[in-house]
Amino acid sequence: MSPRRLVALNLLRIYRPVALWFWTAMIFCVGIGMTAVTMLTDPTFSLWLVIAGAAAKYWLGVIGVLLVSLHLRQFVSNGITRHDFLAGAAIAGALAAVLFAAAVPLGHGGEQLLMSLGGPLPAGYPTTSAGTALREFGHVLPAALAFLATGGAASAGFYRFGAWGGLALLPLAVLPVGAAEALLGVDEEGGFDVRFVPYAAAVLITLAVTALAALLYQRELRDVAIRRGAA
Amino acid sequence: MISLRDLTVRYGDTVAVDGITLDLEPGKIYGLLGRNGSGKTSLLSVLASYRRAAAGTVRFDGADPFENRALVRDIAFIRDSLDVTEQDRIAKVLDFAARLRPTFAADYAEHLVDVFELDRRKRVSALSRGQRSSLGVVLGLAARAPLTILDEVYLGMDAGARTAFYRELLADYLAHPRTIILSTHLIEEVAGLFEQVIVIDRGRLLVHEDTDTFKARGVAVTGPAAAVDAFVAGRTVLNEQSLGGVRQVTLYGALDDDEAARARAAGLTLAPVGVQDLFVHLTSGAADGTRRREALR
Repeated sequence: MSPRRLVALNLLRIYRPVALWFWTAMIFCVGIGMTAVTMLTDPTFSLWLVIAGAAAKYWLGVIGVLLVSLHLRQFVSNGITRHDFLAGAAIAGALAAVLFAAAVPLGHGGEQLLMSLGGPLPAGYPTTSAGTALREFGHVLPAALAFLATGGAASAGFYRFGAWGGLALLPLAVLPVGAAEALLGVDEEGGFDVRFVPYAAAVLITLAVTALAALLYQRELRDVAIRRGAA
Repeated sequence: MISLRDLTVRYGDTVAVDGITLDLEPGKIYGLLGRNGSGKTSLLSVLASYRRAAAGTVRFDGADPFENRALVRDIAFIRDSLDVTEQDRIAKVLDFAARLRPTFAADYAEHLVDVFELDRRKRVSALSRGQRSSLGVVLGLAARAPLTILDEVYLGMDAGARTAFYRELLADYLAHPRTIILSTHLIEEVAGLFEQVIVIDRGRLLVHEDTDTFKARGVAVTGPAAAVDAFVAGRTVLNEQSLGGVRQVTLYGALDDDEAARARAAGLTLAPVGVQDLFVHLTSGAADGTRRREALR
């Protein structure tokens, strides 16, 4: 097995139980929350979209941070080069982003199914369909990738250059999150909007700055000294 | 063959390793000795490709190991601070190493866990200093990497655990020969394992020779002060102590048979000097140390 595949598989293996706990808790909390809301009023929003849509992105951002602070030295100390670690982490991160982005419309569909079992859907509830599911996926995926790249690039800056160097590079690192939040945001009802520019342009801009942050991440870590601790 | 040429490591204005040139033959146990801040860990970090050198080269059979997939895989570098996840349990740490390292001997790791009486269910964060060191030894030895670097891995280990470490290291080395570099401050305890001794001081290479040659270079001459002074005149004196009319002088440099006979005829006693004593004498004192280094060249 190639080292980068080994890295990707082991990272996914590390996070699999954590992700299972996370999504189980998410389903449980949203289920209870939505039941409580429907008992009080007719919801005009999807609690799943509001919570899971945001959480999926933040989760990837946290993983981006942990890749540097936790996993880099763990893999390098077991005979993996930085280059293979970065490649494997990119594969695992992209796969996680796709799975998380897919979980959002799937969960929305599940929420709608459960609500429809209790009677007719409230008039204002954002119903899902193949088209809306694709739109939700298309919003969350680039945003999740953007958060992942920002988490990685920001923590890599601090890891390599210390507090001041990391701070100086922070504006570059947070560009993807800024672009995703500004152009592919979620409205207060959990709806996925495009703002300022058409969707295609919003995705292209977000992916372009994400690639820039990923390049920064790679440059910061390609020959970095392996520190003793997290930073 | 591992070859270092004019290797220099800098941290800002501080020079940690200063132009070291060294050749390490494969399949030997090396003792890397140096005082605190002498540059041992920096040197080992470059050898293990944990950091790039500021200048100079490292070559493993002619190839640069830095970011070299085939070579890095064959290096195990265990630092006193373990490179593991604090929240992981010991069993998970070992499983992780086994998944990533093709040479990792899982059965042997299990044996070592028993030898060091580690609880596989315990999290790394809950281990005592000595237990963390034992885990490092388990990871380092079970990796069976062609280049195994153990940097101060005994910290906090009790005498029993250290003895078990030395025994296991020697037994596994004999069964699976490889290049092992041991950086240590417990010199006298480990000296018996070293095949070659490397001493660095203030970032510079002071000595690199096989252990027997190194030990033969030191001799303690004891006797009446006047006789000792007469005998050691013109030689490299590493240390001298006097008690009443008796003086003991540690000389650097082997005595030939004639010199030894002359010393005995003068009523002087000759005794070997331990590796640790030689090391201490060679590296103690700033100005004096400089003079000694010059004398050694």
